[in-house]
Amino acid sequence: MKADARCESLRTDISARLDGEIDGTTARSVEQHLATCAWCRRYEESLAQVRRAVRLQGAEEVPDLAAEIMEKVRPLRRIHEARREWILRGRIAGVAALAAALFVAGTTLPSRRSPGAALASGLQERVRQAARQLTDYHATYRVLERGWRPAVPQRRFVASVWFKAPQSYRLQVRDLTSYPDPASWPRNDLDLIANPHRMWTKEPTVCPLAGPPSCALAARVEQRTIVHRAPFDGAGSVPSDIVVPLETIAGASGLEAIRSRPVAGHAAYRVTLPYRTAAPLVDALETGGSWRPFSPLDRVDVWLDRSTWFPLRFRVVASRSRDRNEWAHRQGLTGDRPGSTLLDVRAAHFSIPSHLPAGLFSAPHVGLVRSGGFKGAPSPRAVRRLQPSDTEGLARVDSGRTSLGQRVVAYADGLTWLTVTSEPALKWDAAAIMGAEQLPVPGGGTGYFEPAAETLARRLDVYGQHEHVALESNLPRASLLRVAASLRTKGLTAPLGFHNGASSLTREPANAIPIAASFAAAPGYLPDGYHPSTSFLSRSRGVATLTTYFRQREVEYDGVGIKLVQSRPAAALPPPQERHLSEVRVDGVLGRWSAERGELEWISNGTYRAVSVPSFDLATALRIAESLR
Amino acid sequence: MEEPEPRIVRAAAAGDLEAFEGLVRRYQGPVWRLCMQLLHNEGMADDVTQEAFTRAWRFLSRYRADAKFSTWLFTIARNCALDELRRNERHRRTSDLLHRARPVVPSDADYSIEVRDAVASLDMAVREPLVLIDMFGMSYQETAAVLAIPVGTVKSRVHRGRALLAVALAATTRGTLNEG
Repeated sequence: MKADARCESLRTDISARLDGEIDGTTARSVEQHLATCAWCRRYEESLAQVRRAVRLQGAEEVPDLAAEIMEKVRPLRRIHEARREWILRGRIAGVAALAAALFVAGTTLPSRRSPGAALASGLQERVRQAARQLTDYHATYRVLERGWRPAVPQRRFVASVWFKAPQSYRLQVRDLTSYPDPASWPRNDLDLIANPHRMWTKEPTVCPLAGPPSCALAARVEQRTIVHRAPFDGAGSVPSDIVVPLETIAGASGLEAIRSRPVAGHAAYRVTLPYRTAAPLVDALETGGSWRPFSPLDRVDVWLDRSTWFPLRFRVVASRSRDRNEWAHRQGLTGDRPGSTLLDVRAAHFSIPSHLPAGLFSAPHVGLVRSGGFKGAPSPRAVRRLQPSDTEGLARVDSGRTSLGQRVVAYADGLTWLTVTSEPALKWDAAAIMGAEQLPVPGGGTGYFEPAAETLARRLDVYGQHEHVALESNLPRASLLRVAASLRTKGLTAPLGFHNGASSLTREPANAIPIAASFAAAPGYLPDGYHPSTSFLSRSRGVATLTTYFRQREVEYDGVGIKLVQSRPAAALPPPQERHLSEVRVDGVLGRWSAERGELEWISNGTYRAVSVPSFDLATALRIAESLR
Repeated sequence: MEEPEPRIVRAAAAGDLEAFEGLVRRYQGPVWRLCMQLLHNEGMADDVTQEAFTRAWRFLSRYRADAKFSTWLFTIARNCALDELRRNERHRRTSDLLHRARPVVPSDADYSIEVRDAVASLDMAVREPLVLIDMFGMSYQETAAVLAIPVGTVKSRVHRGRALLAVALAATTRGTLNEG
């Protein structure tokens, strides 16, 4: 018997049947055919043999790498302990953002001078000043979200926020949505309470995109508590540098504020930002639970009070572009019409209570409990040695020691905060050093700077002879450098290169790319606000690769900014990592664009080049690529 | 593949090194084997396994239980391996090497080497789903998540991989028998 067209058509199903990956109807059809076709039975047996043989391959001996892995992981914990708390950081910061946002409506803060021209720099400074004034408030927000799930196209929430400077917050989000079947759809009710030494969160377990309502059967409410928190730990920060409108404004270059109609009875300016910049403010609500995602390319409108510079309202609007459509497709979002409002958040009620009861910020001790390991009040001598003489006007609010032996002193003023953390000098961490921008500290020494990101605070590391001092804050970069200049510790400059066998890694001048590597080119165009931040050359197995980061000075939504990789020699593009790739002509050759990663790759004259712009679109990547000289 | 208890993953995500070490001990074998299948070099598989767990530690707080832990970890390991390939253009040389004809002696002991080499000679596009499904017992859905391709594509590619292997293994066996 010979194979016929029917046999051909069933081959893939015969293979999938071995894995139990076909439905009942198809399985019955395959079985009926197999019963009458000897050729297909032999084919099935040959596939089954291969399957067994490959399965046995997995039984080879493997090395025990656990010790090496843990050795690599431990220093990451030690140096970047605070940075790992991003979820909680986001949560607290989220409250701070809401706080700032809500503070606006009906605020009785003394009115500052009326703004004439609302230019970006003026706005930034005034919002920073306003943030310092915030002490106590209680506010309520009304939230409308569209496009969460196809079966629930619209959800409504009310969010209440209480804040007391410097470190006490309470956020309560109540889901008012009418779900198709209230018994099986999980309500997105969220709670967060934070005080200087404890934080508690309560949220529903998140279902996957396609999950509800079926996964809700197993849905639970998760509660987590952190006791012995370090001050502003994981930016649990009051005021968080990454989330409050001041950071949203700080991260926006070329900002224009337009006079608008009054909002909630307040004279207002409207500013328009891309979501990649306004994410800290918008994410303020996403302190847990389940929310719809937004594209970095979406538009955010923020209405700011003309007197106090706090936001009265913000909304996210779906943008129109091919990249945006592809992004929505990947996210499984089908209902986002270009120009439609996806999220609308309006202040509804605001008050400045003269006294907030202490019990309001009393955090329960339930759920998954973890200790932050912080012990207050180290010796006054240790604090004296650590504290900078210039704290940019912030007052000391806390000090102590972490479980890792790091000494911490915290400063705050209203929503503005700064922590100074010190630990004994460690071996240079090549990855951390190479990823940060090397800056001269006024008065001598070197600092390593990283802008604020979606969930991380702005940070300046000073590596001294005997100790490593990390400054984390929502103060601007220039202020951090002034604080660093007033430390007792003077920062050493890291070695230019790190070597490991035949591989090497060397820091190169980011603003002189062709000098760093003769095959590399420098971009003649960068989006507004971007500058060369850091650059390093790696050599391994005969291949030289120059990696250069371009970032904004104060805030970088994705933490990465714009990345340019140039590598030589190269003959072919590496294997693709995803299926959504488009062929694109770049500089006369055929390259490829991954909308998922925001990366454009091509090879010209034996050099591999890749421009990564996770927060921008193809047009921006192409413009940068074609400006390379 | 067996999944860890959610509380262990949560503890590791919250910074508990002991919990994380438990995950490392449990999954280092599968991760190393996956890297070995993609890289064909023990030294590189060692390095990439370490890099994969280091990355997992960095990003564990972003793991939100939407996917199985093993699927999430394999996605990271695969990306690390592809980065390594990219850095070294090793895939081209490895592939050249593996495509070279080599004498094969068909004995039970060597059948395993034959299978290994035959798997290694497959194109990455069919090799990856075949390895994830046949070697690690992943479902089509999980494989689709790791590789970011549709389930239908997984189904056709794993079939194609098996069919190519069946032909390759039959050919080497026949060839050697003829020589003998």
